[in-house]
Amino acid sequence: MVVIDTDVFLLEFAFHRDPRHEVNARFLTVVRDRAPTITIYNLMEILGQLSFNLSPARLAQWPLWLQTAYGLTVLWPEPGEMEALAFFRWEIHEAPLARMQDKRMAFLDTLILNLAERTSEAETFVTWNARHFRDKSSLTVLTPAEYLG
Amino acid sequence: MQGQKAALTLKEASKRLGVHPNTLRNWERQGVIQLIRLPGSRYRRVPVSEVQRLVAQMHGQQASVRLEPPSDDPAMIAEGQALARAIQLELAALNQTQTLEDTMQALRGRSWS
Repeated sequence: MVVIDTDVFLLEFAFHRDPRHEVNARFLTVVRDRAPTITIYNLMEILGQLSFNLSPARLAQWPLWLQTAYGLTVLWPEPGEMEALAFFRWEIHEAPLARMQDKRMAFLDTLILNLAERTSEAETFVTWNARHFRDKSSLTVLTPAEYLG
Repeated sequence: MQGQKAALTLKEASKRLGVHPNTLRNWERQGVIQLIRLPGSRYRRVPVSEVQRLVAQMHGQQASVRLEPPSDDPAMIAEGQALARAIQLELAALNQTQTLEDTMQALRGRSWS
């Protein structure tokens, strides 16, 4: 299972003149048949960025133009058997802080990787910033170009 | 043997839990974990029972991801893809001055190159 980072979708939607656009689009086409996933944190980051240029109505249609169009399964954190408040503190404070102390990472990076790594089926994280994540995650980290091989 | 100890050092416990020793100190302040103070010393120990409780809790948490799959209705997929293309065209018409790296750096607060 592949988890896809925010930059791949921002490149697809908003950076058409970027020289990586074609490879990026090919990656999204190829991966569509391989059950791609995205964390809810990435998804909200994409929507936040695109909100500057999209109407509220368009933004609300994300399940169609983002999730369904690209065949994305969305990963949500869930408390499981933990008490809600304890889980909330763990998810947004303790787990990110432990990762920051261990690997020196930005807050959103920690949220995304923590959620992706505890998804048992996830094996690969795809981002154009692979170099930054490679020594920071237990997942295989690839750029879209590397994924296409 | 370590398995028969009633308490572990912070270093041992942090290794078992996969967190930094400072995280255990923070957890103690926040009441997440109860540590034992060694008499006449500043040193603390972590009861094995507390480590086991947290490991169980963390394993429970590790399994706690909900997967929401997309629609597999061909009509919905076609509609979604048409909408995605329309949005791409809308956004392509804008005069984008920032690079992807600039944008990601602003979002994550760190260099993206």
